Amino acid sequence: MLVVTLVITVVIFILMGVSFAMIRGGSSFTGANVAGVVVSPVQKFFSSIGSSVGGFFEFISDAKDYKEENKILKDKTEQQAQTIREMESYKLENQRLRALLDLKDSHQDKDMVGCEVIAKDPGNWFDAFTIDKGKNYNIKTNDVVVTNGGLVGRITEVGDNWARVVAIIDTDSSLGAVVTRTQDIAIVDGDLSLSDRGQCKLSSLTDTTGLVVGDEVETSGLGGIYPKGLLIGTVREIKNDVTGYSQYAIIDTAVDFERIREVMVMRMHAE
Amino acid sequence: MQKKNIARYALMIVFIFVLTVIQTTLLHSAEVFGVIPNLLLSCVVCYSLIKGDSKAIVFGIVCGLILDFFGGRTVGINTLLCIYTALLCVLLHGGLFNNNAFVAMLFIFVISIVYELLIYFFNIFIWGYRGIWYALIYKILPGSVYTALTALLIYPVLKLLAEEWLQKPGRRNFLR
Repeated sequence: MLVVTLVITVVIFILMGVSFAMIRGGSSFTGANVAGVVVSPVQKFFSSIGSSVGGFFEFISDAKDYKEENKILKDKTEQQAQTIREMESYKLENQRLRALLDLKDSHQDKDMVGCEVIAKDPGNWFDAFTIDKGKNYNIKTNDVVVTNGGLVGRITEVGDNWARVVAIIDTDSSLGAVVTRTQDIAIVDGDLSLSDRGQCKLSSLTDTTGLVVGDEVETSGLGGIYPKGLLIGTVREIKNDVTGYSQYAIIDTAVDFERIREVMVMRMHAE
Repeated sequence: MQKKNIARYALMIVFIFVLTVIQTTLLHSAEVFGVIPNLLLSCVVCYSLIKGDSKAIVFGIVCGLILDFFGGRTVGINTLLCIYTALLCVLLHGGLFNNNAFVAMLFIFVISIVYELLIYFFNIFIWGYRGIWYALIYKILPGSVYTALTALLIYPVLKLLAEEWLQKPGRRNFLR
């Protein structure tokens, strides 16, 4: 019995020595490796069950917290979405205002003031709108209204803190124009059937005019209201009038009258 | 009673003011086929049918002047048309049928067509523009339908303000 015990002790010491030597040498001891290979999948299985079960109970106990957290996160997301919407709106406003500032810089010889559109015509017949500045900013009748896109119209009525603008697409509007490329003189008129599409009519053209689609049309400076060189729009379509002796063209205006928010008034008659 | 009358007139003025602001601002975002309704014309017809007396003429003058002032054209055309609209409605008030929101809708539709035709004639046609069919199909008819539909909202509110509120608080049958 004593001998057996001694033998086992010696064997164990030998095993200890071998395993120590193997581990120090960087390799795993075969016995431990065998044990690990066999047991580790089982350990992994039970461990995963354990964590799942633990997770389930944790989930139940934390459910109330999750609900609150979810509500907070939803509120936060909504706030962030609102902030993004506001920022987008400010960004667009900033772009529009920057464009107006560029316009002011490019017309430094003109006395200009920025205005906001506050109301539109109450009916369906006219394309007129009201701006938020008037006599208080030395705005006068027949002052010219523009945006960074081009010509908008002219002031027809002025109050203390408001002024009424008649757009160039209004049926009452008529102004001298020139085709930029050919320098042909013509007249731009507002037309009831075109105004809804933001278009107007270029008339008094002779049939020898070399007008082509895409030609730019600008103010001629004739007539005494609009200064020369303000962009009105581009030619979309050329047609012969009923007499056959002259042509007229349909112009896409440079300004989007549906979405007009800010404008610049050129104070042509300021004292 | 005097205080009640003043309060009622004040409310009417506020109501007209609100409608004017809506018509010149928000309504342009609610264009249908490129037209907006004429809320003030709708108001004149509804009020005249509800009241059926000389107050309707005064109401017509106020609404017509507002349309003229805010329209920025020759002052008087809208005022005259609103006065005669009110007068016509007063003359027909209760004579042919019981007034309600649907009768008001029918009235507004017919009157709006005549009204807009006259506006077209005085403001556009006589200055050389023709194209009556375009005006009729794309402006007058859709505009009249849209204006007539507004009676469903305006008639009950005016009924409340002009007839029932401060006078007969027990009655609240707004559509009839």
